[in-house]
Amino acid sequence: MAKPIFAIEHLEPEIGKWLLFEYEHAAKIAGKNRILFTNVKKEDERRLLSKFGTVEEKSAAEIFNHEKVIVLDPKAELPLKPEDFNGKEAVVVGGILGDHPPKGRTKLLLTRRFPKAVVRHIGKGQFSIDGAVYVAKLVGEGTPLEAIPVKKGLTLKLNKHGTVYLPYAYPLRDGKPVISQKLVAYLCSDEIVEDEEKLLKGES
Amino acid sequence: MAVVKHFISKSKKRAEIDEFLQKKLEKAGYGGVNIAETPLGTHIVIYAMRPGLVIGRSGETIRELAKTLEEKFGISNPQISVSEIEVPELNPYIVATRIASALERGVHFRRAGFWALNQVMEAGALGVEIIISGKLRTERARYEKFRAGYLPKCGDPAMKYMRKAEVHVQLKPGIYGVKVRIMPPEAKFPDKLEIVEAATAGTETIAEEKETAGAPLKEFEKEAEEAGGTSDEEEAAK
Repeated sequence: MAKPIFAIEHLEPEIGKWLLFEYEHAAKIAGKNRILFTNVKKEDERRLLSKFGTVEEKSAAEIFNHEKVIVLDPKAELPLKPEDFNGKEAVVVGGILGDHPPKGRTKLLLTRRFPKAVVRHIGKGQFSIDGAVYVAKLVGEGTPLEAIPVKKGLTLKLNKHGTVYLPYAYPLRDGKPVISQKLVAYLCSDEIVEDEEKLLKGES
Repeated sequence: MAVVKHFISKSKKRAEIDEFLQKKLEKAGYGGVNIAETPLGTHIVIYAMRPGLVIGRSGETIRELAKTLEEKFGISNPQISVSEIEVPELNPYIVATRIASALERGVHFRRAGFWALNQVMEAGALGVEIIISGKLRTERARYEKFRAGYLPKCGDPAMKYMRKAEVHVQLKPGIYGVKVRIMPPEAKFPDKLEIVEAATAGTETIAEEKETAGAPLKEFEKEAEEAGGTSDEEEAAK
């Protein structure tokens, strides 16, 4: 039986560097042939994402049979189990950059569009897109959710006096959090400062 | 439960007043408020960088403020006094407001955070922590923390001496929160011992000599008083 693919429903109005790094890392985790970016409306964004996997302009809700889909939503009642993957075509992950505390946008923008789908959570806390794909992949391969170690919150050191704290849940692989190394380098660099300054001045 | 409710509502009112004054006295460099209830009324001390702006022309602003506090917050007979902040860099409200206005001018929060950290430490603070949090349109929400010096967050010194303030700033691409904690230079820690130097033998003898040198003069003055005479100073005064 074919393994289900990971469909990332792009729900942000634009693709920034942060989102791009998460998408790229998610594609690396799932494999280029098992990742599908859906709901990508802009042509330049479709071109950009085509480097990492298949890209669709349509929403996952229009592409898949809802009964053959698992939607990952932190507000779901039941946890994801290996047996949930039986006969499923896709696992849909929201392409959302979260707020803290979370606003529950996945339920609002994604889950509501799949009334007949299997809706599951992957544990307490808000996961990054790549982290969610990593956990779902492991569960799909037979690992129970409880056996996957998760770290709540991640602190990155800038220098002697400065740190960046990310208030999200990160699955651990060999004791290290699953996060794009490009994203870590970007967050600690001056590049993000310049990008954000442009954004704050309304130039970006 | 009624007691708990009483204290909660009191703290709530205090926070509301603080928020109100923060907005109202932004230009005056508002730096906090101290409210103390007395049998005669409520004594309110407002700390500001520019007390003149709090008082207003012939006390107009302060009278208006007293009226608002009485009517809006139900404070009985408010007596407002204004105190000038001597070292603004050691006041968390001022530091947080300065960071917020820097963010509004388009300065990046990482630059603003490090700049404020240096300013506070140079002013002599024992420790400082600045947390700037928020979410921009194209990014996830995150916190950036800037920390220097010694800053315990719990225990008696933290409760007694630590000064903290929080300010929010709304920018076009998102909202930011600025939290500042400062441990002032006068903070005393129970684990920090001060060793007092023991008085040396030489200083004792000098002190004794001084005492003995002054004694005959005192005795002479006593005798003069008893005899009905006056000292040189009294004569000069006459």
